[in-house]
Amino acid sequence: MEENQLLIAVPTKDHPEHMRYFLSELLPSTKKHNVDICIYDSSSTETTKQIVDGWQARGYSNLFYKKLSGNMKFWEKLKYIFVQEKYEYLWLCGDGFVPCLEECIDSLEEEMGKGRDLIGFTTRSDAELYLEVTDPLDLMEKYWNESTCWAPWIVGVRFFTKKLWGGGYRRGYKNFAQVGAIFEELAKGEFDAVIIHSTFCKTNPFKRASTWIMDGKVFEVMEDYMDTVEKLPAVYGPVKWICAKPIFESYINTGILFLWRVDGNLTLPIVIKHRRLFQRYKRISFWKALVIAFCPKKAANLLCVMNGSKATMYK
Amino acid sequence: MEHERKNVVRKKRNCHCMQAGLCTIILAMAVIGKALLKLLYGTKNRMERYEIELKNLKKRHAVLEHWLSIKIRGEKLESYFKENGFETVAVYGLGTLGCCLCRELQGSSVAEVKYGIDSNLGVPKYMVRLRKLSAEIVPVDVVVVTAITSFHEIKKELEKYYQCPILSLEEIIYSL
Repeated sequence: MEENQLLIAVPTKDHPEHMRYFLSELLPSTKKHNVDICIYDSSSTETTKQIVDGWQARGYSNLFYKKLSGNMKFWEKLKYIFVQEKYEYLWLCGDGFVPCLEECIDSLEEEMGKGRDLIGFTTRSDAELYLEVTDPLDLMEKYWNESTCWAPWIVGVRFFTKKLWGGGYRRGYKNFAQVGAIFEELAKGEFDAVIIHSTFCKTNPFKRASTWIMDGKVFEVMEDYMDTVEKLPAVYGPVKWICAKPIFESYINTGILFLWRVDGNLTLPIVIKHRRLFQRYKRISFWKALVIAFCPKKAANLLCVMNGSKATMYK
Repeated sequence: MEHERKNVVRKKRNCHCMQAGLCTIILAMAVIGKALLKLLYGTKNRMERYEIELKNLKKRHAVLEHWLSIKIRGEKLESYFKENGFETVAVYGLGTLGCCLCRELQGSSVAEVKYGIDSNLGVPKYMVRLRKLSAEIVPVDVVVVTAITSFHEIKKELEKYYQCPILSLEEIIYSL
């Protein structure tokens, strides 16, 4: 890989154990292939910095560290990370997934050499092995679900400017700022993307569940998701709700609501606060959610253990 | 008159019988319900236990996978002990990971495993002498806890006896 060609950007907050594993898994291969890593740390302690310092002291000059304010909003962090001119490509990863660089470096180098705007990875069994995409609708139909996560995207930084991130933020994509901004930009005109079927990352064994689930923000994020889909440019109109449906169905269904009841994501104030979500998403009624919010936690726990939703959401 | 009295008595008896039958049915249903609930909770507890075991296995698998990749790269675990100046080591927990660590450090000129600490002294471990946690501990430079899933509880317990650093094997493996 050429110098300043690819940066793996890792925002993290109070996850030193995740970071210890992440770096130990990834650093040797990044050094070998001349890929840089930058940790954007919003932690309240210095442990993550100490871990990074330890690796830097051992000669990993491709590892960088930036301290961010703990109060910084998620989408502001994304803007800060994306708007930089030093690198050609940016691979945004959470600390919960570790990129398998050795597995995909060859195809990455090849596609970067072709000057792609977007390089996407998928592990879906029905996906094509290699697919060049130039039509935004096509991309949405084939890749929307993966797009809502960070790790499958490698983004050409020149394609995403300060103006775009400002715009994406202003329009309020919030928790889905990355995917919202990308699809908005793609809708404007020609782009050159490729989707490759490959193992591109593995789960960090320290990851229990997504941070927003652990923080009790499931309904807040789902509402942002609904807003994001709603605000997508008109060109996506014919397919966007069909593509968006599977994510709603995984996070808002009767079985999973009992899990949200157990872990504090579903309480009476939360249901009332996000009642608009239930009114817009017709499959679960507001009253059903309200009844589940009153269900005793012990009974809800029994139900969600028995139907397996706990094991699915909490690794 | 007599006939009417008999009818009333019969009706009363029938009523009592029905009440008794109803009570028996309710009681039986309660007993069956309780048994079913017990069975359900038993199954739930078992499932939760299996989930925890699975999580622990995944963690151990990740440690071993990383350890293997370190070996494939040609690095050795003893470099960690060398860098930190740990010459004598006590290994807590002589399960799979503990035994692997002892084997890895066997014959090393950098770090020597002085002894193992394990609650199960009955199982002989050929590569290391076993000790129980007691007030008369033999001082070492570092204690490595290989029971990674309950490291924090074990660390608290070990801190009562040891002044030296107490590290999790995970911390060592993921530092390389």
